[in-house]
Amino acid sequence: MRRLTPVAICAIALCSTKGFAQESALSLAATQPAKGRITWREQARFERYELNGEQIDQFTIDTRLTYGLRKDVALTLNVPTILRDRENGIADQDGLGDSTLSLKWRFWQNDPAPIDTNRLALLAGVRLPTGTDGLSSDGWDPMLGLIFTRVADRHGINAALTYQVSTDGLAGPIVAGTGSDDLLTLETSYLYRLAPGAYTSETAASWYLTIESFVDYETNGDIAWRVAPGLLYEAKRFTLEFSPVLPIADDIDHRGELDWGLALGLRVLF
Amino acid sequence: MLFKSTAVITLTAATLTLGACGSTQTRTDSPSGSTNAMTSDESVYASQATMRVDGLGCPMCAESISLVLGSVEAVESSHVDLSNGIVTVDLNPRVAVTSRQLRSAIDDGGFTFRSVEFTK
Repeated sequence: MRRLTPVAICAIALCSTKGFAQESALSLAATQPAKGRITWREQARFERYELNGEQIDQFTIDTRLTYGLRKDVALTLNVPTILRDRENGIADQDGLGDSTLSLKWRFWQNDPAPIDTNRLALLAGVRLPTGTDGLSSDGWDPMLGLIFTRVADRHGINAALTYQVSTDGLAGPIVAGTGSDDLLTLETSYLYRLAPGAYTSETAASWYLTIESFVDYETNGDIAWRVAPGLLYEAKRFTLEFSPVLPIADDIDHRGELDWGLALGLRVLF
Repeated sequence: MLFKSTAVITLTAATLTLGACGSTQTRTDSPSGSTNAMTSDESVYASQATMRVDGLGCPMCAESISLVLGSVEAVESSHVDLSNGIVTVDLNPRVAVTSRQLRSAIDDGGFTFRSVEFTK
């Protein structure tokens, strides 16, 4: 058990107030496709957990489609496919996880310069009990969030605060938010454009260095802080993303503890 | 301890949000002042339009603009200069276009239209 220390708390606060972002691999951003356009995102994640001394490996493929309903409203459907390998071998679980349907409404936007933008969005969604037995929370879990995005030349920040109400839950949950307790999450991310240093009229792609921070607090008292340094390549029609996920501090008594994780993703604009 | 942690997280998010609101600038949507500037509903037959757009942010954003501009009948092709926020649009000179149509496409893309100039 990694106890949260005052140093860790200060580091969380520091991560939350410094820097600037676009859309990094794992965290939310107040961005969305144009009206009538679709983005398709396929992300593979590997996570190793420990629960009561047992090692659990989880491989998740998230398929996410986002459609721009209006210039400021987008609808997203996320369908996870999960392969779970348990060390004791007697309870491997494979199948669909719970899908999530969400609406993002960008209610405020200020673009002070050609590249720079500031955006605030509200997120409302519901997690649907579409998962197979052992992978589904079996609840219709509503979720609400507030997202801020700022892009200033080579720098970008995203910050999101979300609250998910649990209407049911797994017994013996492994992942945060899949038990019967509500989940409050603070996500922050910083992106630094490595190349090109300055855009030109011919710029067609960019490289970004990213650092993401996640704090998950459940109403049963479990709290965990993860960070994910990563690399992002963004071309005109697609984005490639790579991020290892590392636990920094946690105080968890009711679910699995993350040992480490890895995320690889592809986004395509249609 | 956990309550304090939650309080710190919440206050940090609130501070970040309020700070962002307080530090932003307000810009009016004004025409460039060029003699070629058109009123929103006035149809024009032109070979090119040059727009000033803010909030482009990234190469994929630029591509979004090209995609939404493709829905305007008169638009044949477009090029986005990210560094200066200049969107150059090649138009079919035999098809009428209004600045409102171009502005609407930029708005639908989620960006901020500033001005447009037409070249006959």
